Amino acid sequence: MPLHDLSYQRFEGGRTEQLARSLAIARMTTSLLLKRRSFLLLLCACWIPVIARAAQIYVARYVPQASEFVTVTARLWQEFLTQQVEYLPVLLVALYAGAGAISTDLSSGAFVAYLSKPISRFDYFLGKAIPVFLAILVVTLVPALALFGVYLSVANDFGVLETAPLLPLSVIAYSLWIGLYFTVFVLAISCLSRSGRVAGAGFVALALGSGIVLSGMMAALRLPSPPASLSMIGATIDSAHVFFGNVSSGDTPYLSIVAMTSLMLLSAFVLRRRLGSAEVAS
Amino acid sequence: MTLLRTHNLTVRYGNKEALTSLSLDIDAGVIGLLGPNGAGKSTLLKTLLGFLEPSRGSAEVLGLPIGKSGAALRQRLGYFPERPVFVPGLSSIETVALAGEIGGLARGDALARAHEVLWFAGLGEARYRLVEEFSTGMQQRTKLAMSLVHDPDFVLLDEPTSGLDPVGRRQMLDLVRQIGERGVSVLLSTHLLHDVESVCDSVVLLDKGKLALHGKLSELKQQPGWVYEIRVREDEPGTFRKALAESGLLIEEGRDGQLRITLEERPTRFLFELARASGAEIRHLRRFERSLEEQFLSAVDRDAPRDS
Repeated sequence: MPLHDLSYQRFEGGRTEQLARSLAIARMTTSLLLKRRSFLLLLCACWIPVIARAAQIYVARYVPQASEFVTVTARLWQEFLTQQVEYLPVLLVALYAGAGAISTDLSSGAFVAYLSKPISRFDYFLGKAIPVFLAILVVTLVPALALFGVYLSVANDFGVLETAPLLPLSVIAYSLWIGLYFTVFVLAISCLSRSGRVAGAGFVALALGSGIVLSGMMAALRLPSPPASLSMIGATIDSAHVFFGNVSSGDTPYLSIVAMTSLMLLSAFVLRRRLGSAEVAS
Repeated sequence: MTLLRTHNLTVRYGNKEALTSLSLDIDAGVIGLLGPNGAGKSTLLKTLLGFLEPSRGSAEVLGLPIGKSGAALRQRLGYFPERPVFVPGLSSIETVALAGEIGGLARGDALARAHEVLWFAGLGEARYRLVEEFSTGMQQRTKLAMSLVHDPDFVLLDEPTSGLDPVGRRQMLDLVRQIGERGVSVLLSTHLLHDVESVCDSVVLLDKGKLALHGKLSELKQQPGWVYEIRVREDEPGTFRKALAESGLLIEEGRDGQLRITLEERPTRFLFELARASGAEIRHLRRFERSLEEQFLSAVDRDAPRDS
C-alpha cells in the first residue's frame, strides 16, 4: 500500500488457529492486570509467607540448636499451600483477577464485540480463565516450587524427597486443583453481574460466608461442627490430604473433593447458561 | 451473488415474537435495514451473528447456514454494535489490534491492520488514546475499525450514525460508501431514512417484526405510471373524487387535502376534462416523486400501538 493511500484495503494474509484467539484475550487481560500497581503489591504481599518458609528451611539446616523446633518435612509444602488458602492470598488474588473479568466485559459491551468475532463462548471463557488461573499459580505453585529450590540449595541431603518421592507431583497437582476450583467459581460469579464490585462482594460472601453461616447455625442448634467440605475454604484445605497422601481416620477429604467437584460443575453450568443466554448478548 | 437468504425466519423473546416469518433474498451490495424502534432490526442482526437462535425457519448468510456455521460464518462477518464498546484501560490501537487477533490475524498482522483501519476511519492521530476517553464520534469510528479489522466480506452496522453531529454523520456515511466500493457488502441498520437514501443500493423495511417493504432503492422510488398531486375547488364537495373513482384511477390521500392520482397511460388532459365535467376547478397540479420517507410511512402503520 502506498503511504498516501488511506482508503479501505482488503487483507490477504493468513489466519491463526482458534487457540491463538483465546490466548490473545488472555494476554491482553494479563497485561491489563499487571499494569495495576495494587495487583503487583498484592502478589508481593502473598509472597511474604514464602520468605518465612524459606527462612524456616535455612534455620533448620544451619542452626543446629533450632532443629528440635524447626524441621523440614514433606508436611511443610502441604502446610504452606493450605495456609495460602486459609490466610486468604488465594482468595484475594482470585477476587482481584477474576471478579471483574467477565462482568466488566458485560458492562462495557466488550463481550458482544468479542463474540461477534470468530470465537466460541468456550474460547472466550478460556481467554478469561487463563489469567486468573495463572495468577493463582503465582501464589501457590510458583512459591512452592521456589521452596523446593531453596531446600535443594541449602540441604546437605535429599531426605524429604527420599521419604516422599511424589512430593513435587503432589504440590503440582494440588496447586492446579486450587487454581481450577477458584478460577471456575470466581468466573461463574463474575458472569452473573455487570458490576465487578457486586461480583466481588458475592464471591467473598460465598467463599467466606458459607463456612461462617453454617458454623453459626450449627452452634445455635447445639449441633456438632459441620464437616469442612461444606465450607469453600475448609473443603480446599481438607482436600489437600488426598493430594499429599496423608488421609487420617477423622478427615473427610474425599467428601471435600466431591463437594468441590460439585461446585465446579455448578459453576460450569452457570457459565454455560449465562454466557450462552440471549440477554448478555443484547 | 446472494448475500442473505431467510425463509420463514421467526425469533422469539419468551412469548414475544421479535421477528415473524421473515423471508428475504438479498444480493450483495450496500443494503439499508429500516424500521421504527422495536421493528426487529437489531434482532435480525443478532440472529445472523448467531447470538439468538431462530425458533422457526432458516437463514443463510454468504451461503452459510446460521447457527451451524458459527465461527466460520463470523470469520466473514463484521459487526458494529449499537451500544458503546471498549475494553477499559486499552487505547484504540490496542482495542482494534485485539479485535484483529480474535478475528484470526497473527499478532503482527493484527497490529499493522489496526493502524490501517484506524487511519481509514479517521482516528490515525488519536490511536494511542484510551477509547473510554473518546467522544461519541470517535467511539463510533473505533467500532467501525473493530468491525473491519479482520477483513470481513459482509459488515452489519447497527445505527452507526447514532449520536453523531451532521459533519460526523456525513463522514461516517462516506466511510460506509467506501467500504461498499471495495466489494464489502454492508447491512446498514438505521431508522434514519436519509442515511439509507444516501449510501444504499437496496432497502429492507421491517415493521413489528415483519417484512414491510423490500427492493432496490431506484425501483421503489419509481412509480407504476405517473403520479400527480392535485388540489381542486368544487361547488359540490366529493363529486370530482367520485368521478375519478368511477374512471378507475388509483387515488390516495395526500397532504393538506390533496389527492394523489396515478394516471398510468392517460395524459394529464384527462384530469382537466374530468374536472370540467364534474364542475370542479383544478387549483394545483404537480408531478409527484415518491421519496423513501413516503414509502416508509405508507408501509408502516404509524397509528398502531408499538413496543418501544
